[in-house]
Amino acid sequence: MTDNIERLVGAMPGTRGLLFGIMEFCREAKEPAQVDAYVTEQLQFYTSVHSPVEFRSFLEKAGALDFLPAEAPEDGADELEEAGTDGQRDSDDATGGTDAAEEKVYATDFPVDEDGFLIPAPERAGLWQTSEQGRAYLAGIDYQKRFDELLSADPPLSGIYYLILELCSDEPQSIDELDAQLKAPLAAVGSKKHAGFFVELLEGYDALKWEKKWKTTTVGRELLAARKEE
Amino acid sequence: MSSFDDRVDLLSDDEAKAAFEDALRARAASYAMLQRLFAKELDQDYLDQMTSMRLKASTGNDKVDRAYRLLSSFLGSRWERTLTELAVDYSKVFIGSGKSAYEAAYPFESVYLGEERRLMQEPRDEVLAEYRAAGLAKLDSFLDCEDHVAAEFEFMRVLAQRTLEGYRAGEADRAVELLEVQRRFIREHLARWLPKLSADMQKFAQSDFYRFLALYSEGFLETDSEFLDDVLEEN
Repeated sequence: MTDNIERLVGAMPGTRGLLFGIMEFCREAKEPAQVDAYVTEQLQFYTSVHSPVEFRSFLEKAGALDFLPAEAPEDGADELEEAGTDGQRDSDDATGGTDAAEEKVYATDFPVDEDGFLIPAPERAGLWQTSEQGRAYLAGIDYQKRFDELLSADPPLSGIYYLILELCSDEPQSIDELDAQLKAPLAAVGSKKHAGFFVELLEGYDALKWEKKWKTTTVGRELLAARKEE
Repeated sequence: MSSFDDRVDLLSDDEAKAAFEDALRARAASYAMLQRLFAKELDQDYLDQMTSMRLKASTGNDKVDRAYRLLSSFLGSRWERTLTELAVDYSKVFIGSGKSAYEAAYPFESVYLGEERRLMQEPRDEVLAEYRAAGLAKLDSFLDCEDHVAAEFEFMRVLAQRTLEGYRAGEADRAVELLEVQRRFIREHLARWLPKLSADMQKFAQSDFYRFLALYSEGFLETDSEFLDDVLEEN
């Protein structure tokens, strides 16, 4: 079931690309510090107040990421393993988490000092990896179908979308640069829209991303390539 | 002789009296912390104070234990934008966008116990009467209604502090009266709506910090109710 992942992505549209990016990044298991470094680097392109640790937590609770303990504790090791690998942490709320799942984790992995007090900063030792559900979710997205639906909503503008992907594929473009280059093509199809209109949609359809300037994503390049093959 | 007097007699040993005084001081401090955390967003000073807290792994209350683990985890993952992150979450959890009465954990008793989740309902008048009976009035600087959860926790803090002072001064009857008022206030107000507020907070919170606050406030209220029942010998 990928409903929780869908719910999480839907609840955080502004960081949709980052959530997908983390799932792609963690297809091969990564150290927590590697994930956090990736997210920290990406956060310069997103307006988000959430920390790298929070993003890991959101994706874990939604079932998109698995935590693979480096060395399972002797007591309750099976429970922790189970909670980390087979989606036991799925919840009705993508950002929530069931009590049972939380208890399983907390019961085994919080270090305590000799006086019975919790020791702060209990970073669990282990790796983060995109779960089977996360992979299934990514594999289940039909980018071409979604894009075709976008184009069919206003066929005369299809060429504009492709033109933007082409332009941003050659070299990242600012919105002003795109506006200047789209002026004539838009006038030719009788549209008074500006680049911002198209860019926002293309970003939502995962074909463009903002990295100080607008840049065509891998998905966008594949959409372009598919059109050229037609 | 009241049950509290009995308790005082039982606590003739200096060490036991000191322990009891510590318990009274601790509950006043806990209410002060709850008041602060619900009243407004966290600032650096308070975050630093919380970071220096020592959290017991096992308190005897499951909700408090889970809350402490959430807090420990949260404090362990602080970063440069933590305060901004918390300010955003405070807004999401308690303020929402105002589109409907069900999109945030609006921290007012009237919302949870009044008609149609509206403000300024009968519960507000009831707590106002309680405050007045205790000789208290809301400060002008506190802009929310009297039945805001922070105001109710502040009321408990003031009474808990008065109890501590009464106990220290040897005014047992006064202390018993105050504890009775606090127990009644919990039963008639906080215990009736705080669990619902806590459930909503856990639903809307995106940070472990506000999940901690939800669980801790509910768990602490349970333990304090048990403490009051124990001290007043009425279970």
